[in-house]
Amino acid sequence: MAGFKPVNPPKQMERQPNKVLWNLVFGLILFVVGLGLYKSSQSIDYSWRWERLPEYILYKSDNVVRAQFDGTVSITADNTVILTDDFDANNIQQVTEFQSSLVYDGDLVFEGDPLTSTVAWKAGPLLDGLVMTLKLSMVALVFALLLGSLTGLARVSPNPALKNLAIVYIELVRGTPLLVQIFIIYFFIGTVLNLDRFTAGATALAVFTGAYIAEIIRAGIESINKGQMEAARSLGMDYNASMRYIILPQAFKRVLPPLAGQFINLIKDSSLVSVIAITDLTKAGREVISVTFSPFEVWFTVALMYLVLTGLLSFLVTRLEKKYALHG
Amino acid sequence: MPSTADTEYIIQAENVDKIYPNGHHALKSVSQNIREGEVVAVIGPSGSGKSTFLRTLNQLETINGGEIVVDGISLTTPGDVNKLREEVGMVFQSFNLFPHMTVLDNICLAPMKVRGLSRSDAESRSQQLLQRVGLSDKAGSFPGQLSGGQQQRVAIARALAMQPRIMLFDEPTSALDPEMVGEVLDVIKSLASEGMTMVIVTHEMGFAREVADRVLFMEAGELVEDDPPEVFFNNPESPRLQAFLNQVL
Ligand SMILES: Nc1ncnc2c1ncn2[C@@H]1O[C@H](COP(=O)(O)OP(=O)(O)OP(=O)(O)O)[C@@H](O)[C@H]1O
Ligand SMILES: [Mg+2]
Repeated sequence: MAGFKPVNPPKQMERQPNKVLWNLVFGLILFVVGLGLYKSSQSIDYSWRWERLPEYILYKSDNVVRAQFDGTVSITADNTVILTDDFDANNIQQVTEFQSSLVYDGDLVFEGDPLTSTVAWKAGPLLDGLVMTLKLSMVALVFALLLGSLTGLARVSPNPALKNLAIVYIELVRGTPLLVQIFIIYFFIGTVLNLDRFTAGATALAVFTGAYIAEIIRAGIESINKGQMEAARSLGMDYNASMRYIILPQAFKRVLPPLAGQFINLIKDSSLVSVIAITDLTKAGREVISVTFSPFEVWFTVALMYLVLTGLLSFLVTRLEKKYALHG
Repeated sequence: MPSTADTEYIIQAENVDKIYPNGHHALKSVSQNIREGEVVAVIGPSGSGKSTFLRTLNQLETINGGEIVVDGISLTTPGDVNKLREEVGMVFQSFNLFPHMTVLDNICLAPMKVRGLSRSDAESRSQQLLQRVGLSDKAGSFPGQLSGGQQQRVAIARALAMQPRIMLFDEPTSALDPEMVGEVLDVIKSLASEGMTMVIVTHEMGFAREVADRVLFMEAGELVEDDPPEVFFNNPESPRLQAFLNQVL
């Protein structure tokens, strides 16, 4: 191939859209839509206060330690503030871990006076909610994958008991709304088994998602050419070995994209658990609105935070797909 | 009913009936006995039941009537079907190599998982077989990187790695470009010369005439003719076979 560089753009018969022009059109449409949103937000009677939002995500907390009684301060060489009661030398208050001392050696302080302060970054309610959503989704994801894989295998199994159990489970879950399942699991099963909110929420999400994963797994297995199983069986391998070494490794690659979609759904569906008072991202959003009275800013922010989670997941799965894309 | 012991036949099929779940009567009372070391070619029009018959011999298809005994194992008596399949290799029209594995792993897998060979033993056996089918340099390739003829030769090596006593071929060259047919047929011929028992469904008349000890003609689910090749091709008895040969030759 020496001396022949690929021509850019490729030479071909079919007319191709003008890349520059249409990218400009795309940018223009985005701009117009954005402008429209901006204009309409100006026209309604709503005062935007974006500046108030950040503190609900991350804020600086000033942790001040105050004197518990009247007394005299002494500061030791290893930077410990010691407050001694003037009337009872045995009554002392010690502060060791702090950033800055607000008193000097020998100061006389009264009860309630600040002694030291420590400034630290703390997660606001929205970030706490995001972490809860992530935790809930991850726990549910692990169990949904387990449940879904087993059910998917049972669904294609020649054993009627396994197969029918799988069908009943899948149909029950797919035929009822997630919200109703959450209520049933929390109020009924949760009461019987004494489950806490988080366990009930994660269980509901895992049970719900598991059914969809089972269908994805089944479709993946059935998409593998019948000849693969026949070839494996004709070599004397039993059903389980054929599944394990031949069918499942090939099915795995095919189910990655739909699985990723289901995982993203799981993260979004997790917003429904706020109905059983789990403070996930959505419920945190509602709570922040009730103190800031800035619903628009909060919902946009919440949406963006969900996007970050789902976007991250998409990115990870795309990398996994690339890694397994080779051969078959 | 053939007795399972003291018999000179390695494959005995008696009055085999096959009716597919959709009601299609694919095999109608087919009987056939094959000796050890015999090479039998099966010929017939499309849809006549050739593949179905072949696949009943390692129970990829179950039968609805009659009896099949292969290598002393009755296929209608409850037992371990995997034991039977260890002794009966099969080569498919569409190769059916495992696309996610290298050529070497394709061949090694069953000997390791079924026969319990160590990896090094399985690999040296596989290398020998690859050499025999002329593909020593392809051990590390994936099936998708090979031509059809090469894939089919790997498929034959994969079946041989189990050291079967019988080989079944279902139109092994039908999916190949004409220039690749020869390389696959050569491998099968060499097997024949070593005395492997083989049943070969094929449309290659010249090949059937050359390697087969007997040629069967099937039509509409029936076994119509069973002759040595000279008789089959030169003096066929049944008018249906005469008509068929007139069409294809
Ligand atoms: N799984 C199946 N279910 C229902 N009918 C089937 C099935 N497999 C094959 N048949 C039918 O049984 C008949 C025999 O099929 P078979 O594949 O044995 O024919 P064949 O002689 O191998 O033909 P070809 O030369 O085209 O491969 C055909 O009419 C076919 O339509
Ligand atoms: Mg066929």
